[in-house]
Amino acid sequence: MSLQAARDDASAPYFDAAASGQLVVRRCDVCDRLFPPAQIECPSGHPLTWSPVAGTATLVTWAVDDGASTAAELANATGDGEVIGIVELDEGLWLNTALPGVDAASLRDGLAMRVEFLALGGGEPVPVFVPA
Amino acid sequence: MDVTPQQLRGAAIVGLGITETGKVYGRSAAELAADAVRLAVADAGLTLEDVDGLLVSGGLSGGVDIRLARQLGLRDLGLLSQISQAGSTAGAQVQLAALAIAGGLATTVAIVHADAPLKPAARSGDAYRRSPGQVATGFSGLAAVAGPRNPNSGYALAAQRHMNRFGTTSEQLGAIAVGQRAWATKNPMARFREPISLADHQASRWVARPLHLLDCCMVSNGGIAMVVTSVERAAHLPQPPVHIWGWAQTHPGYRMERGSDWGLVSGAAIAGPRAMQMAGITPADVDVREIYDCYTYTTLITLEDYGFCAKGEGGELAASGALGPGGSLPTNTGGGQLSSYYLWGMTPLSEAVIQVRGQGGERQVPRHEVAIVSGNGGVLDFHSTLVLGSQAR
Repeated sequence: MSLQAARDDASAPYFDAAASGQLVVRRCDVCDRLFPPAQIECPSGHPLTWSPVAGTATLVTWAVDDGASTAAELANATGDGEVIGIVELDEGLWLNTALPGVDAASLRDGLAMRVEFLALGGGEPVPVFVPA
Repeated sequence: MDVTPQQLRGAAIVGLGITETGKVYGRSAAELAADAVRLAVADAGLTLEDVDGLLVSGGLSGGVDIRLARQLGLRDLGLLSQISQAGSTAGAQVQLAALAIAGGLATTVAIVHADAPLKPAARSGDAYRRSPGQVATGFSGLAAVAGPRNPNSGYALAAQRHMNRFGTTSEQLGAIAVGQRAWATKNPMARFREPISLADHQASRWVARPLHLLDCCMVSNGGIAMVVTSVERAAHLPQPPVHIWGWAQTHPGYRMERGSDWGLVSGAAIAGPRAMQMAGITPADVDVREIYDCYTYTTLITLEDYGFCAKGEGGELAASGALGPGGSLPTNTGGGQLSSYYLWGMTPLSEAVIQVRGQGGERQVPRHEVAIVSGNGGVLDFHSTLVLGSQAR
């Protein structure tokens, strides 16, 4: 049983970009700040636009979720959990993400990472990060 | 109307009611809440007719709301509200009760939290674990795939960041679990009363690495209530009043971007100094610390944020043994949510009341003039601090 991501109207531009291999986030041009994809509006009330980012990042922190598996593709290198993490995009924004296929013991603060997209269960492609 | 600091500090906790806690089945959360209020009012030497304010808090199971006033038969209340700010609720209930009393809304306020998330056939962790859906739509799909899916993994991310930055170790977190269990062995109300060793902590299964099972709180059914009234009224009541000296809340709203200190500090870093300033004390004046301990890590960073050690040195402090029985900084003296009972912010607050009164029995700390109490909710999203004292101030 694999988890599957599905689009709705609000997320359609995000998943369209992901399908072409492009990670996008939300941006306020007035405040010159980036926000996570799900952010609806700038705290100062300005409109947000979709903005491409390079897809390169550094690792802030990580954890191994030892609970029930959500998708085989997300398993860690030792097959006993799923590694999740927070990465800092080169543009400065932090993202919660999954780190599939890695050995948590090999991770360290500031490790260079790059985005990949996984279409779990045949659903919409979701961004994950792997060591660069 | 100007309210003076003396008026703000003019309230005290005069009643405490704790139901049976843990795997308590057959009573709804609302029934547990009503039982807790009755116990607290009786403990205060009052009757329900004396109560003219009620602040209720429910947990996961729901069903605890303002209808509790009718269930208890309360009449002509001047204050009635349901509030929820997760683990920081209990501290906020005390603050709002004291403000309501200072502002003339009520004279005698009952505050209560009750929950009954445990079911006889289910594992405790199931109560807080979101089951992954087959299809997750929109941005919720992203979050389900790519982030912390429950509080355990959220706090695991925070703890790992503290480890990365300060070199905090799992063994140091384990020392907190071991010390709190040592306190729990002396607490007849505690669910887990067998001593544990650091080796036991290290051998306990992973819940979300770097957190072992023994780094994590339990889940409990039960209810805890308190009665807050004016210092003047408190003087005529049977229990030693627990005076409310200082308070603050901070809900940090961390920006998750470059430069963020998420995971390294909590709202306690702002609320703690504010509450101690209102009370006119410093950390050196605090006799007993009752710290919200959803995880060992939460105890550790809160002690740092309050200034009981320098930032980043919480691990060394824990490993020194200072927090346990006989240590120089007694902390979570009932065993906390790790070892005694889990009723959100009422867990540390109830133990603080017991200690300041001097009713801790075998676990009573010798000096108990001043206590500090923290409440923490979300994943470091919500925080409240109280400073309590045995004397009027």
